[in-house]
This record gives sequence, structure tokens and C-alpha cells, in this order.
Amino acid sequence: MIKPLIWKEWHELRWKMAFGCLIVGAFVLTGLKSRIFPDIAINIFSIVGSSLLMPLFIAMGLVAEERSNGSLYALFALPVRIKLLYVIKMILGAVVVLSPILVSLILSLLMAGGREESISDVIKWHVMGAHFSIVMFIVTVVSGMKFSSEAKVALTGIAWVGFWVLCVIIEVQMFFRYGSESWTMIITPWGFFELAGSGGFLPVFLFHFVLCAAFFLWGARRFYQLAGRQR
Amino acid sequence: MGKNAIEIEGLKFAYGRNGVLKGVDLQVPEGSIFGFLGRNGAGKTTTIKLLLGLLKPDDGFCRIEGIDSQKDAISVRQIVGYMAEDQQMYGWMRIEQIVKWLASFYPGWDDKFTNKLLDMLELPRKSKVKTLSKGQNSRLALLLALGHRPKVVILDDPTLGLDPIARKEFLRYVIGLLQTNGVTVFFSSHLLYEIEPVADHIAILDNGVIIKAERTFDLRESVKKVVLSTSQKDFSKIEGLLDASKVGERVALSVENCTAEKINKIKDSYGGFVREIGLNLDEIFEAYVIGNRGEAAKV
Repeated sequence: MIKPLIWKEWHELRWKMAFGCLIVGAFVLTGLKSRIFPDIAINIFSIVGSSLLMPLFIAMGLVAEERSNGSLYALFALPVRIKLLYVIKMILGAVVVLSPILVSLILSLLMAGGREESISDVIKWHVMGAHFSIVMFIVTVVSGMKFSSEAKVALTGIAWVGFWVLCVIIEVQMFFRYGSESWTMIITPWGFFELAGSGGFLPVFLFHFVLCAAFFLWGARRFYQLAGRQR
Repeated sequence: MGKNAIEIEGLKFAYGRNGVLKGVDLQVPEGSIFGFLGRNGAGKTTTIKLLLGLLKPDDGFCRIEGIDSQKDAISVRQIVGYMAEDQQMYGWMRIEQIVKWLASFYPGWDDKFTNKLLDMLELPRKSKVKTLSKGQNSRLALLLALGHRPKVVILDDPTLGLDPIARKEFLRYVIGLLQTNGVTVFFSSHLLYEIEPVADHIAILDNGVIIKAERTFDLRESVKKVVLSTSQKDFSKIEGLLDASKVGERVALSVENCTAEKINKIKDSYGGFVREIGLNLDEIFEAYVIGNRGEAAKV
């Protein structure tokens, strides 16, 4: 039962994955080879770019596309647990979301590991990017689950980014006004960048792990509810 | 009494505060072609989703071949062939690909039978689903619903969006494939002329309850239109009056359980009997669903 479901999702996602990997790979390859910018800048551009756009791109098509073309209801009628359909969609989606970051990591290590940045720093940046991608992917898919329009799902993701930007602004304001950290950064998946140095790595990770787990479970419930809905 | 393939008892369901099903009771005899009628939004699709275990009822239960749809939805979907209204499949798959893909979900998938169906339904194996016409798409959905040789086939408004010729062609296939195989067919539709030649049993769903469930033949025999030429206006005393309408100087009364005895009683009470007319399913449905029975029977 699992194999044919994976096969179907893979067929639907493979071109998106190839597209993401190609764009990011080409950027990292050209950037690190030409050395127009420092290695860290190339890494940050590729990580930020892929961790913002890939989750949006994949989240848009995962459920909304199937809802709008009506195939989701044929999927629900299969003799398969609806939760299994959801889990496979989310896992395959997450793999595809992470793939450009993995490409960027491999190229960075091979071409510029230890050149300007230490290997551990290269890995650290990419882990942070992967963390952001997964959080962004899960919250966008789940909060946009009931939309049958892909554009609305993308807007939901953008709204989350806007909320996190607001948290950063509050954090910066608090720092400049009162000279203290407000820990609003913990809410944003970028909290790593700010808090990792001041021992905040674990709280940020735990906070987002709990957040993602809660969203994932909520998503399972929302996905099940879709089965009873009209297109 | 024969066995029932589908049993529904006291089924209630609401979308939020909007009560869709308010206590549906229904028995579908094994091997029958059962027409499930109702207006748009009457709750036909909701009933089907509850049958397949895709929704949880607020009360009541439904069983298919003795399996509870809520307790074992997966087993129910294994033995049911389901074709949704305006069903869309994956456009990027080829017909042979989608058949193979679907076969992997059903242990009892019959490859030989499916190949036969592909030829019979004139479906091009190598074509991509997105290139098929609406008629071909419906035929493919029918094939996919039948490939595992289900005991029960549920067709939810299967001809929605088809032109009259494609609709006729589709129904011809349904009759040809299912009537002779002893499969129970639960056929939901709001197009009565489509159900009439096919179904041997009929149920009418209105306002969240089944208002009539009977053999098609018995239903046609029992509901009649009695035309009177009378100046009287109140017909509310007639037992089983479904609808009363004035046509010029005459009054047409649609009456259920319309026996000769009942007609004589009407003749005696109101006089001016003109004639008695048999109704088609369309008119019977209309009389049950929008008839002004009871207190409103004054014309």
C-alpha cells in the first residue's frame, strides 16, 4: 500500500525537486567558482532563497492542487488510511523541500569547505536553513490545508514570514531600547541565527519541534476533515 | 426476505449547525440496482461519504455487506467500487499506468477482467488521462470502480457534466456490466429519467429523511393522478394526497397508494371524475418532494 502511494507522490514532486536543485546548484556552483562574493554570502543567499521559496512552492501543490483538480477525492476513496496518505505526502514533501539545501551543502563542502569558512560553520548554516525550511513547510501546508487555491496557500506562507519578520523587528527594538533580549526571536525559525551564540540553540530547537509536532497533528485532523468536504 | 447489501439506520449528520441528515433509514437488497434520488443538496453525497467511512455520523450507523462503515472503513472500501460525481483522476498518468497503480491497492484486482473492460469501453491504453474526453473519463472511472470485482458499486451522480449521448452510452455500459453480474448498485442521481429505466428500487431523500423507499414498479403502480372537474377547493381529507393543482376548470390530484377503492371514495366525495393517469418517476418525485400535501391541499 505504501509503495504505490510513494510512487505517485514522487512522480508529482520529482520535477519540482529537480528544478529547485538545479537553480540552487547552479547558483552555488557559479558563486563559489567565480568568487565574486565571499563564500559565506553565497551560502546565505542559497540557504535563504531555497528555505523561503522551496517550502512555499511545494506546500502550494501538495494538497491544494489535488483539491482544485478533484483527484484528492479519488485518493480518499482508496482502501487506505487517510492518515497514511497525509504522512506520505508530508514526508515526501519534506524530502523535496530539503533537497536543494542538501545540494548546496554538498557543493559548498566540496568546493569551499575550510576555504573561508570552517566545515563546521558551513554545516551549521545549512542545518539552520533546513530547520527553517521544515518549519516553514509544515506551518504553510497545515494552515493552508483548507484552501483549494494554490495562491491562497502561498499567501498563508507569506503571512507566516511576515509574522516572523515582525518578531525580529520587536526583538531589535527591545534590544536597542532596553538593551536586553526579549526572546521573541524564539518564535521565529531564524531564532537560531540570533540565539545560537547566547546558548539559545536548544530552546529554539525544542520550541520549533513542539510547534511542528502540534501543527503536524493538527494537519492530520484537517486532512481527514477534507475527505468529507466538497471540492 | 433476501439479504441486504446496504443497511442504514437512524443516520444523522450535520455540517456545523446545518443538519443535513436527520435520521436516514434505508435497506438496499443484495443484487438490486437501487436509485437514490434527491434534489441538489439533499444529502445524497453526504450519505455516500458516510457509507464509505469518509465522514463520522452524529448518530446512527451504516453497514455494507455486514461491515460497519465506521469501525472498518478500509474493509468497506475494499469491497465497494466507488465512482464520485465529476470524478477526476491523475492527468499525468497513462490509462494503463492508472489501472496498474490502482490494482496495487486491491488484493482481488482482476487483470483479465480489466483488460476486457478496456476493450469493451474503448479506452486507449497508452493515452494520458488528461487527454480523455468527459465521456471517456467517466468510462475510465467506471472501469476503475469495477476492476476489483466489488460486491457493491456506488455511483454518485456518475453522469454529471456528460452530454445526452455520452450519458446514454454510459448508462448502457452500466446496465450491460452490472445488471447481469449480481452486483448491488447504489446509484445516486437527481436526473430521474436516467434512473427510471435502470433502477429496480427507488428511495427519495428529502429534507434529511427518506420520504419514500419502494420497488420502482410498485411505486409507479401506487402513485396516480386523479383528474376531477369540480368546484370544490379543499382536498385535505384525501388520505395519501401528495399534490393538488388546478388546471383550468379541472383539478389534478396526485395520490399515493391509489387503489380502485380509494378512487371510488374520491369519486363519491367530490364527484366530477374525469380520469385516472399513471405517473412517470419524474412526476412521482415532484409530487413527493414539492407536492403541497396536507393543509396546503386547498386549490
